[in-house]
Amino acid sequence: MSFNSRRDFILKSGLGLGSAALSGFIPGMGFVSAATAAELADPLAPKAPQFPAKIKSVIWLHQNGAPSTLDLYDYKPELAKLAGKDTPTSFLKGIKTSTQGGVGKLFVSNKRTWKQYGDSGAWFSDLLPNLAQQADKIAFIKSSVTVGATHDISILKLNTGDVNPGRPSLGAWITYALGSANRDLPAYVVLYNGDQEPRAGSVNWSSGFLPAVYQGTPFRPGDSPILYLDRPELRSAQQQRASLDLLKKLNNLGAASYPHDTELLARLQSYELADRMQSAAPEAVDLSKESDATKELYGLNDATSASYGTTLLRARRLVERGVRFIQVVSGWPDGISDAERRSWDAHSNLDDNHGLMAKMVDKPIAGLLADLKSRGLLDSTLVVWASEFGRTPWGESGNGRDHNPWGYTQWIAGGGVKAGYTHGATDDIGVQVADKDLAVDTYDLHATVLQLMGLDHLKTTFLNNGRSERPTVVYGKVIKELLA
Amino acid sequence: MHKKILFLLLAASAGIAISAQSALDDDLMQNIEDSTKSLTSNIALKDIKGGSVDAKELAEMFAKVEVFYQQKGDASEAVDLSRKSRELSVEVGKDITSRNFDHANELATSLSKTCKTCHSIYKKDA
Repeated sequence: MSFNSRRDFILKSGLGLGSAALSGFIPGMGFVSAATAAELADPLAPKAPQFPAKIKSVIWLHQNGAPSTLDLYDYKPELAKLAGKDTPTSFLKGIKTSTQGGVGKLFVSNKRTWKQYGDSGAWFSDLLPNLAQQADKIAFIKSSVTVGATHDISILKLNTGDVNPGRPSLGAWITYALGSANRDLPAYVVLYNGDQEPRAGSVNWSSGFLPAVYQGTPFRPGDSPILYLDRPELRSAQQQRASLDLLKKLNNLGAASYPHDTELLARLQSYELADRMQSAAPEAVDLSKESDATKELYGLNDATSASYGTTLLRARRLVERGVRFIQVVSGWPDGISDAERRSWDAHSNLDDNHGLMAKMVDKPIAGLLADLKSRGLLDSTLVVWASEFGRTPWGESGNGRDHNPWGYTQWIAGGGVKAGYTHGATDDIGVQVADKDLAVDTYDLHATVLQLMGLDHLKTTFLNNGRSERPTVVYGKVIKELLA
Repeated sequence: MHKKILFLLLAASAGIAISAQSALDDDLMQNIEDSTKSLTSNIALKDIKGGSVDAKELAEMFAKVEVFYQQKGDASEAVDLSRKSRELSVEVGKDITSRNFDHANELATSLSKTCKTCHSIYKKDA
């Protein structure tokens, strides 16, 4: 483009934006085809995957605070032998520790017992007796790695692939790539138990640089999942519809002038979605028609597991209703007030903390897997146990564990998964991944989840300010060994 | 032999003075990171010109890193990783030129992973 005069420059770059928009040029998105223009008009319209998908929905179980998988899944007899001794320096080669007070003596709880379960012979500790019964549904990733030793940063990386805010979460990418399968509900829902939203914040379900319409929608615990969703009693449904129709007309006038304003597009979509959700959302989370047997399966009859179990039962109902990505963030049982027991973050008193947190999640997650299986949904749903990192084998504060990003366990179960398989391992005492070639970073987990959704992480792209972006940033590898 | 000659040419064209630096230049590392992101984008956009420039620049920068660690001594892993990165950059450039973008994408991802591996060993605040 050449600019012969200031007027010419203004016409071609400033005032010309209007005609550029009419011609199909969207700043930040390039020229759009008629198909893309239709997508902009309805960004949540269902889109086909790039190849046949193995699953339709993901239930992402973020275990907030980072559980010690050395006390749940990763049995280390060598650690038990060395308990109470200094951590041998050979295990610390190549890592930089930052434990307060220095690397302590190796710690093993004298309450911990281990057994193998199922045909796979997977190890489970005494803390997960119910989930152990589901051993053969699970594929373990025992060589998980990440970066960062603080929760907020590593949680952000777990969900968005970057330690800095601004990137879309995995759920947002999936919603962008596949659209919504149920126009009456958000395609991407965030669930949590406890009396506060997850502390790490909404940046973990953000759409980042993707259009705002793809962000996650938090559903609160309780009967009314979304604030201000219910119609006020003084207003009739007819009045509400008339108001919305007028608002839509006015907003569409605005949208025509600002076609690149994705927040306005999202707002347009959200009013209509909210109208439909007034009936659809409460119904989706209403457990009154669930049988007593189902409620007990999810641990709703126990005060410790009731709130998390409720959340997972809601997740199952959302899967049944076509919600694509359900991000469940673990909170704490009702009535727990001390901060030390409001997440898995056991820097001290690990037995007390994990005894509570494991009891909160054990029966509900086991119930979820069994329930999905019995309803024929497990083959089309992926359940992911994920955490921002693991915990160290050396003690902290005597009877806790510090953060460990160098080697820990996550798992997946469901459609397309090689159930019963274990990928990788940590070293003999659970410090680092034993074979770095088998290390699975967050990007690799994302790439694998996307693969199961029928999406190639290398080809799921969005043009942001002239740069093509993808969910896995510049990394990522599908872990084919995990796939059936 | 061909690869050795290419390396020497790259080192010479980059104007490297073999000197006793104590640490790798942060700006160099930042430029490598920026170019890697640009490369990934250009491959996805099938921009042959942009991608080729990025691949060439990356090969030159990794040549500098390789020389640095050779001079530093006692850093054989870093030498190997930077050599691998340089070679990958060259291969990516070839793939881009021949429009084999799928393979270029895979190699570029391997390149990023190689950077991470080296950082995990040598980066002070990794």
